Amino acid sequence: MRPAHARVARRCPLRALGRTWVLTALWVVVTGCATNPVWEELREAAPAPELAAVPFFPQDAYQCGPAALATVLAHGGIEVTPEQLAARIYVPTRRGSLQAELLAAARSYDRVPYLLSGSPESMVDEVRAGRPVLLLQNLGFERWPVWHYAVLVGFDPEARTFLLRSGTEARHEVGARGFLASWERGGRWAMVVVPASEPPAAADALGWLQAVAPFESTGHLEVAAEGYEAGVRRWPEEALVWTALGNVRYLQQDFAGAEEAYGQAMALSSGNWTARNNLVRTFMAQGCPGLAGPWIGDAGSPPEGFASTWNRTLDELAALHQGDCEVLQ
Amino acid sequence: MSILKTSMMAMLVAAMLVATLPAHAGIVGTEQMVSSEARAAALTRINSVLAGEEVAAQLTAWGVAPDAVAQRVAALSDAELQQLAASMETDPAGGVLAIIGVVFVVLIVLHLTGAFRGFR
Repeated sequence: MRPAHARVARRCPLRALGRTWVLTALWVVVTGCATNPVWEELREAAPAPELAAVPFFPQDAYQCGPAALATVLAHGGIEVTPEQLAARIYVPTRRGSLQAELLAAARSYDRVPYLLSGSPESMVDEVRAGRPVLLLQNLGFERWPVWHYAVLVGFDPEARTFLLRSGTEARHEVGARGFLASWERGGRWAMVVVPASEPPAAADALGWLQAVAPFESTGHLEVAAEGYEAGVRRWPEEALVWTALGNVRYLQQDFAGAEEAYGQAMALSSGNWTARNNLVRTFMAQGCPGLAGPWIGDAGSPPEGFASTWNRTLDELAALHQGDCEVLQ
Repeated sequence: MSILKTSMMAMLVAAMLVATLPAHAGIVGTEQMVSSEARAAALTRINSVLAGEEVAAQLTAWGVAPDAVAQRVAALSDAELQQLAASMETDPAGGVLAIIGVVFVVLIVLHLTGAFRGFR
């Protein structure tokens, strides 16, 4: 018969195993690293050496939004402090800053906030191109989120680490898996700020228009024009970009310029109903409703969502008389 | 702040917004054109003004200085205003020091394992 302590000893490994299992499960929950598909996307990526010139603003309690935004703006040559930005983006009761207000504040310094595509590669690409990336992390759980903004300034695939300007740490080195999991829980949100004349190399036409259009709708027309001009240089085959350029020229009352831009858009894509509608509006604004004829005759019928806009334009056109049409005179 | 005061504030902001909106004078603006939302057709200036009122009221209620609210709301795009009006109460508000986040996570783990009961 075996001594009692032997049985105890035999049971102990089991209990230890149980404890290990619990700890492992906890670790998986905390780090989100069981299998991290985000990391898989980056496995083959080239390194992004540290952008040593990116400044650092240590944050005060809860002020990581102003600190992170000041970091990327200052890197782009804007003189601004987190204190100045706090007045624009800090929300006292929430003890934090909203993403939309970060974008709006960047625009108030005439910089275009460009949202990245949501792939980890897109962030690393920007750092490699010399631009620090402002990103959102959830340092807690899906259910108990702890939101934090940080600025990515480097990536080392060998060591599997990311380098951040974060909180009170100028060089915060974090493990790739844990970091990417926190970014994933933050909705894969990341942006760079650029001058309106320089769309990022990785930008696509639609993303660039979405980033620049708010300047148009908030009345900063010169910046919008600069952004669209850069857009047509980069994507001369994109009808939407020409339409956007036409829009801002129309709002600047440069009707001849608007007509030219809308004309380009229609030449590239005759199914562009915004360009067609706005071109007709351009003739109307100049008191030349007669010139709209060719754009109405062969129009066909607009898609369902555009019908009411188009019909309103036609109605107002019909009510107009040929005025002092300078173009005809 | 009283509800009356908050709503008066919101009306004031809305009035200022309307005054600062650029006249689109009939054309379809770029933001409307490129909006990926299915409700793009509903993205009108009127809706933005209403959304602006809601956002202004909420920011005021959250302690943003009243004289800053108008400026901040005016800086938001149509799409941003409508998105905020729809979900700003649950939208992320990034703010913590990273270290506070770590402490918080540790507390939650302790709470879940029964070692710490501070969250009741």
